Amino acid sequence: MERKTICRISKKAMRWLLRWTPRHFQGWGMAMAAELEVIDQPLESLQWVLGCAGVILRQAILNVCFGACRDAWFWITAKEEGTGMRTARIAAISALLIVFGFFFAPSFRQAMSIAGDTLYGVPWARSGSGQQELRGLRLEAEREHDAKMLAYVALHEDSLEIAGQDADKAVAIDPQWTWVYYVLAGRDMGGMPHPLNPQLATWIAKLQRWDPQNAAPYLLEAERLVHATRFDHSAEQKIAGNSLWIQTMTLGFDAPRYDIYFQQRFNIERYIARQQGLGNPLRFTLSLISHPLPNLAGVRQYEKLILSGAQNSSDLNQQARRVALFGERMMASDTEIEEISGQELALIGYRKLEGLALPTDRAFIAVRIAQLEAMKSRKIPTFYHAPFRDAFAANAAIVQVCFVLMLITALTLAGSCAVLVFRCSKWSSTIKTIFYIAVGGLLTTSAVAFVAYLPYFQLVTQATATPSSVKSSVPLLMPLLSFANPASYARHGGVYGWACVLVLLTFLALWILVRQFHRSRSETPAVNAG
Amino acid sequence: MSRQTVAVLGSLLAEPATWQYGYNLSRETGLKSGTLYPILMRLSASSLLETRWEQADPGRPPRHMYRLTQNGLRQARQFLTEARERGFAPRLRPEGSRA
Repeated sequence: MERKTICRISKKAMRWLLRWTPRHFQGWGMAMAAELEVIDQPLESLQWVLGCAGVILRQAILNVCFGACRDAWFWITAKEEGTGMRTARIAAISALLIVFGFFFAPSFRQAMSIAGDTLYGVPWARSGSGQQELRGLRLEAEREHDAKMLAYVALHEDSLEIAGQDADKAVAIDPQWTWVYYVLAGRDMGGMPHPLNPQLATWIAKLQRWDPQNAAPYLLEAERLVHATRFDHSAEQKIAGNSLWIQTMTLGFDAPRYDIYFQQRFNIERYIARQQGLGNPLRFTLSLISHPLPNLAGVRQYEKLILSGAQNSSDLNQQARRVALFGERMMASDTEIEEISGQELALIGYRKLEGLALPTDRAFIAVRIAQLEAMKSRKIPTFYHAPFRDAFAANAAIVQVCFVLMLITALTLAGSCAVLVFRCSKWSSTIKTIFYIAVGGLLTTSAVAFVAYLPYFQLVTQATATPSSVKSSVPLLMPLLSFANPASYARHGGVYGWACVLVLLTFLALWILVRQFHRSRSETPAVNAG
Repeated sequence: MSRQTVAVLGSLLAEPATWQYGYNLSRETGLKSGTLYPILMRLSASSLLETRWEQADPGRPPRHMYRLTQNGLRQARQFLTEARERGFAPRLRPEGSRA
């Protein structure tokens, strides 16, 4: 009874396996199943089924994954057209596999993503990810009550109204994301004067309540008060008479902290970039450098106002001290522009104080002035330093040229394959030549793009390393702007010239190679006949 | 040529005119179905083996049968000679073990 049961189970298992058998293999599957009918030993029948399962599984996998490859392999290794053609085919397929392999390297994927993104200009859009993807992230964040993700969505949403709603939701879950209002408010006030968002005052008020010790929210509010007069020639007089603006600026100048939340912005951008995969570091960089700054012109106007309006030396002493201290706080901020503006302000303040301060303070003031002047005159080797910038600009141009050439060669390849399909596997020698040249071109341009992008990749890796601060990371990312600023490498016409020469030489070499293959093929039958 | 393939060829060559069943070949060579059938498939694909379905009794599925083609016979003899020279001639099970 038990014996029959096991044999029956084996047969059932075999029938079930036959359902998974690939069509071309069904004859063999049935052959294996038929043998089971004559096996009456339970153990043997089980072993038979297990063996068959292995064969069927292997065939199914081969069918799904390698069926096409197998056919291609037969085509590649076919000897009908001679050894020369066979070698050329193997070389071409190997080259294509190498190109395919490049896409497994994150640096190459980054290079392609950036080059593709900048093909039609600079991707200045706020969304590091597309708006469609952003909608998906929003839905997921709302479902998961993920404040961090909602804050990220708010930072990247194109519509300020929707971004404000996202920020409200993020702050309702976790108030530490209130700084997002700073970015939204700064965005709203950027550019030419325009009707401001009705929510702007509310956002700034929330920011002030959340971070009352910080100068940035007050500077934002001051800007909001005079936004309409920003480009007005008589603005200075209007501002001087605006007591509310003066009052708000006073609060900003006297606030013990100065923080525009750039480090927080960097942290969240880096976190999401890591989570989603940093596919396009250029967009990451553009997103960071679009972080709004306070109205520095307004700061200078206030400084002039208070210094020129001082009524006596004691008052001037006090106002100059405020200017110097505000400048010092601004200098410690995370952006280069604030650092330079802070230096200027502090220098103005200290110079005014020089003659007014107590004798005990004068030595310190003199030293500080000397330090600030030295800092001002020192050339900081940033990305804007010409040799550094030019070297990277050349590499960016190479990557972009290679990207365009890769597109052309890939299209040529697709075209020659289409000819193969339409002519039912009959290739003319011209099409073959074009095919092999395209493969060679694709391999060459891929390899050159890979090597040319490597310095950028190293910088990006270093900039996004975990313990990095925004102050040290952003300068490392700045070279990526070479991709976004074609004007900077327009002077490097040589790059394009050399790229063309290189490509032409490659094509010439490949053409000679292909000719050699053709020659050896045509010579082979003659030798045999002889 | 693997030892297992040589064993299958040896078994088929023993009675070249007779159509043989997969299970019988498995018992003669001692190979499991998972090893035997890929060999049969390869031999068939390279035209060394011919196959046919037997006329089945009602209620039983037809069985698949195999024997060497003329080309298969020639090649099998050659392979077996080479295999013997290299010292791995097939060890077949005794005749009595056939089903």
